[in-house]
Amino acid sequence: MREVISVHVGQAGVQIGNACWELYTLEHGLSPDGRLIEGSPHGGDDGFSTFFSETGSGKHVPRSLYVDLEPNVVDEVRTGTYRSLFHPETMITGKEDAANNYARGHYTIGKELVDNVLEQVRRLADNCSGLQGFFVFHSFGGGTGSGFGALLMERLSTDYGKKSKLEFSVYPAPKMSTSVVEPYNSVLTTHTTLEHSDCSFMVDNEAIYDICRRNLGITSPSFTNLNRLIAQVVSSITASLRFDGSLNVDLNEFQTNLVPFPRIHFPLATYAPVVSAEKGKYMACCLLYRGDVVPKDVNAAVANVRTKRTIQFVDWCPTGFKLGICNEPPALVPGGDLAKVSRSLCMLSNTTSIATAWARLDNKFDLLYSKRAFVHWYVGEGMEEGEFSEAREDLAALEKDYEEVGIDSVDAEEEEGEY
Amino acid sequence: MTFISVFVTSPDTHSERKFDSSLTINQLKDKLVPITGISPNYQVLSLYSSSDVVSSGKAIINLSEDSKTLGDYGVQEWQCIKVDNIDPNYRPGEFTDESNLERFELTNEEYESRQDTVLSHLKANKLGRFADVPTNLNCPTPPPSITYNPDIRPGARCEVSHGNNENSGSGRRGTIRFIGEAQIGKGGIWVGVELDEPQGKGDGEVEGTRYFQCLPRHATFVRPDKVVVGDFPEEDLMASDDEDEI
Repeated sequence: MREVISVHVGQAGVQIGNACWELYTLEHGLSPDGRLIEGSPHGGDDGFSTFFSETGSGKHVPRSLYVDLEPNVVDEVRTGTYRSLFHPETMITGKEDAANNYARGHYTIGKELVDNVLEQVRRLADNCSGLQGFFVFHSFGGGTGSGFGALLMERLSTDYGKKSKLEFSVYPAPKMSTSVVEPYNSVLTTHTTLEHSDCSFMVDNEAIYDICRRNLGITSPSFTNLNRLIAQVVSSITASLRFDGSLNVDLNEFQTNLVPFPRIHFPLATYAPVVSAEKGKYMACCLLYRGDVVPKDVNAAVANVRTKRTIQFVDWCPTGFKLGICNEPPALVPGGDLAKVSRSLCMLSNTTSIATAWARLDNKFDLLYSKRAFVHWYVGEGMEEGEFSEAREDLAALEKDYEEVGIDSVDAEEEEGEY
Repeated sequence: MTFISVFVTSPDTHSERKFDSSLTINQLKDKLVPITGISPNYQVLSLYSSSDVVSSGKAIINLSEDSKTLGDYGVQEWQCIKVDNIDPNYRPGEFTDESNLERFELTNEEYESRQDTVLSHLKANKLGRFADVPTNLNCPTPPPSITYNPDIRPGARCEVSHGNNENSGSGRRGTIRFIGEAQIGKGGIWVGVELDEPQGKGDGEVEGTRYFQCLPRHATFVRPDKVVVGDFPEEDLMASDDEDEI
């Protein structure tokens, strides 16, 4: 068995978790308390044991962990519809929130919680026969998501060095920050996590927000609306791990196919029918189809995309196009915003265009840090000021890494003008 | 405890938050400090029916009494709390206006001295631009080559595509005046075309070298793959679009 443990950190991580596990139970014909619904077509399929463990009494329990420094978001799960789906000990909360402060999540408050969290991870891992790795869900902007998320990644590296660690990261919206210190938190967590993460799927909340407004007609989308859409993306990515499909992709394959170099591990996740034409140079592109699609049609579609000059793969790594096809169509969430569809496409693209997101984040960081604004909040939580400049230098190097990736393509293939 | 989801909007931020409705305005202000960056004594709070109406609509009520709770004010789910900054030293755009940004940059030397970078990886493994023989494993299109359609020769009629945009309609027509190696751009093979209409760039001279002579804006120099040679008579500009298609 190739089990995967999902760890949901902070408000964003937990709420995306709620939407994901709701969708997983629907897709696998499970009731909200984890029992197989009679007459469900999935009785014979045990693919989903990668994500659920089965108890002696026939309950299916998520191989998941919810962690938040404050109780109220997880309390809603503890009293909500899915309260008996999760094992109570896999929902860990502290008493004091991280106050949007990376240093509180990473140092003071986070330190108090991390041993308990790792003990629960150990229990979940012991319950696996062949653990593949971890999915860590968190936002860049929040204190718990950024600070504790980074701490957890470091500790998972220490304890489970050889296992894959993949992240789902909600990165800051370009236009409006969720808090004034979001740029600090984002830069600090990216720096700390960079060497510990094998692949970080970037969820663009603003793009999803726009989809909700424009395509789904929701005027003021809430996290619930956003997260249900994000869950569809996550579900597409994990579908091949949960279902037997005609073309499967496992965790290692994601990394092998999507990441040309360890630091360049931030593919953007987009969901059809809203795939936008990304600018920049592609290092890799993973197309994950679901539903009644046949490989022949998909291959034709890929051949078509390949001929487009906007897609330019790097010439020094064997990454390129990867296909995943899962025959199971996406599930419909009752009360959700999406209509039932028979097929869907999730595109994971590792492109140099993400460098503009780093540049934007770095600009915002510099605006704050040049005045040392709010730095005392971090120093007050035991963080050394040097960590700011160290993190910022690392991000500057990351920007240059993307420049370096782009260089050879510019010479060989950039569209030339006329003279 | 009852938690309500509301939006918080301040000069530099916008976010969805959950607050306990028994929170007093005083306590709320403390929580808003790390979100908005505004000290409690400079925060002025007002309540709006939704985040859509903050810029245009009128506040439902000002949340001015520090000892009252959110519940006392009847704050409902998905309403929006606006936070204004009355700090006399506050300068709008201080943390968002990038016009005077002094950006931190790593020098090339600093980047080159770092380990584990893409640059150090490519150098150490002789990849990409550091390869002995440039690798081209995945190129979907071949680089500009020295071979081209032999029909492209001076005097031939042709159509020139508009460049990047494949949807820009039919190409521009003209007569080929030059083909061969030219010191234009990165060098290599270029085709010089005298266009029927003034849809080009120059008069046959590029970067100090004259390749042919024609009327201004009638000359264009493009790569051979942008040129289609064939029976392309001069278009009758008086013809309507419909007839054009036939």
